[in-house]
Amino acid sequence: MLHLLGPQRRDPNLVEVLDHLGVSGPLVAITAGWRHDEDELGPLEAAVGKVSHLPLYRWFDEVPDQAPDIAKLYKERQSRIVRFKELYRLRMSMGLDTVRALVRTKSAEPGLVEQQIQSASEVVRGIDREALAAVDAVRADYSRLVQRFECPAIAARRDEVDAAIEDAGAILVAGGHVAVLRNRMLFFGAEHPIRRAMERGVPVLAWGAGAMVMTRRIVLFYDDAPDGSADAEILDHGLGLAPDLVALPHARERLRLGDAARVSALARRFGPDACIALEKGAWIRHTSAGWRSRGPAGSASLLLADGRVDDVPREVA
Amino acid sequence: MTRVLDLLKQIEADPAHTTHLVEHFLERFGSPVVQEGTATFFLRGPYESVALVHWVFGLESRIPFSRLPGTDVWSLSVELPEHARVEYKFEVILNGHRHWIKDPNNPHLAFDPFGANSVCRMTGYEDPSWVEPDEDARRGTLDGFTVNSTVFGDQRDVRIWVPHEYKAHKEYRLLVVHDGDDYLRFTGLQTILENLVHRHEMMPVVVALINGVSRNEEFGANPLHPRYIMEDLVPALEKRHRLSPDPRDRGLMGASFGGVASLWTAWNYPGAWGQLVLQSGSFVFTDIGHHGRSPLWDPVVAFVNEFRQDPGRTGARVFQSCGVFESLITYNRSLVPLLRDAGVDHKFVESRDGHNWIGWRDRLREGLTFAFPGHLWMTYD
Repeated sequence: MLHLLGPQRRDPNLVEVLDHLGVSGPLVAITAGWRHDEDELGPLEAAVGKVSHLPLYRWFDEVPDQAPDIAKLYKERQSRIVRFKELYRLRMSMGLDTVRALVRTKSAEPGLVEQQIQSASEVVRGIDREALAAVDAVRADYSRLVQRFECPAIAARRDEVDAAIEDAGAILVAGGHVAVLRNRMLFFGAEHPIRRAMERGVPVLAWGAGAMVMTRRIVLFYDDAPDGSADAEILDHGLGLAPDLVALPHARERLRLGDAARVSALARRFGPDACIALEKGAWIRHTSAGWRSRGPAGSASLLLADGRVDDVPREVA
Repeated sequence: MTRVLDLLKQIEADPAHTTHLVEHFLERFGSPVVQEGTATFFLRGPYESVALVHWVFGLESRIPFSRLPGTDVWSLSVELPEHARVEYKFEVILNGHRHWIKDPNNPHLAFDPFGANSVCRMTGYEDPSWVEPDEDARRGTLDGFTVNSTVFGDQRDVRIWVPHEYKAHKEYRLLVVHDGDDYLRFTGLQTILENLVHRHEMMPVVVALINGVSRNEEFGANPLHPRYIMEDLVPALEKRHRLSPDPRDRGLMGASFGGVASLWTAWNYPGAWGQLVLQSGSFVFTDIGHHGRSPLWDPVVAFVNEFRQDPGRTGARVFQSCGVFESLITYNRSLVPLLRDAGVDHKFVESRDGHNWIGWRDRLREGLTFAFPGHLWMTYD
């Protein structure tokens, strides 16, 4: 079972959730999002006790020595993806400019304007879909990377991941740099054992970037960036373990949740997936009725297409 | 203006109660009353005259008030643009003596090394959210040490701010801030750094806060200053902290003459400094003739004239800001096309403010995040 939590930096609820779940067995921790600080487990272990750590960030840094051809290809592929993203941003921002211009349009025929807004919004959604397809196409050009596990050193790391997760009482995926976390987890094939663990009923607790990585699509967002950029964008596919969800950690800090037009635009753009803001104290999990909250009121909120922000419904015990 | 016009109508209808009406009005709305692009100032008192004293270049520096007939109420309406922020005082003459006083009906004050001014905030101006302490932002550490300066032949106190996550074994970027104590005191720089780092808008950096001993002489394109920075300060900092040697990870910041000192240091050591944050730099130059200012400006003007011939020499990225109410705005604007044409990675921001610390504070987010951008789009704790 996957449990998505709010930010854990201050007033964390990780221990409370673990206690509630009654976890037995080792805790496996993935902290690659902390990058060069991934080994600094002091505060985490002070809270939850000793963890079995998978240092994916460090392991990845060793790849150039173990498999220089793989490392070179990987770098080349990432550079192509980054170059593509610049073009994607250009198309996307122009598409969003059109939507915004239409929203500002006053017409004697509001129905006609609404129709055009829908149509322009669909164009943006199409650009987002194409972005993911284009990234897939770039990856397809690097099929050699799919066979990276033929390299014994990389395969050995994958096996370490498999073994640790196989024995896990719970898996913790911390936040941090979302692209680094995603890429390192996928590079060492962590998605497969995590999926199997979830199927066995092993709890997976993820927060911040960790929560984002669990979703189908990772959406980057910041409404008030200092350089003026403000359009949310698709980073990449996530692990696809959190269904029908766009995870928005720290949304209160990063989004103008009081701006109904922006909330509505975000919810419409990424619907039908639920855009859920995860604040301090949040604890949500997916049930047969959809995403449900086990945290305090206001800690997990749903961004709605009409511009409102509502609490995620509470899970009925 | 509606509120003021309503008041004037009430006074016209009931002149005997002018003082009471104004008192009631000020209690309700304070001073100045800002509406529709006009700020109306009021003052009560038995003065011979009252004038508005401000630092808006382009407006008459003393604008006289009028007294409402038969009362001790003085008023003045001034047109100011939206989003403007203007610091001011009242100049009053009482019994033949001239005094400058703060607006007694205005709670908004701005502080600087000379004291405090009242502040007129036009519609659209707000204190930025990132200047307020954020309970979630982790506090860094402010410490100090003394540099033995062989260049100046004296000892100089330097303050160092390091972020909360600072670890001695890790390598950090460096920012040297001129007039560091004033930045701390009058802009709340420490809180701003902590907020920006917390939000991942800015990379964690080590900040060295320095002050001049004979500030204007040292910061005004003095050949000793860059040598002090490079021969005394930086080696002393490198002994205490692991600092990235990459010039892109090293920045200089300053306001006014501090901006000159920053640019002058980078100019004298091309390629050594990759980031410059220059706020209201005193970049006075001449195309012909004398600059018309005091001799203190001679080396500054000579430097800026030389800089204009080779604006790309420093090799640094440049963030530059200036208030449109400053006389320096023209000089700062004039550097923009030169930097652009020289291919310098450059950002210029104007604000409707003057030559003051709050104006500089309000541009710090843009400047610091330009120089040391964080991974804000990618980092979600």
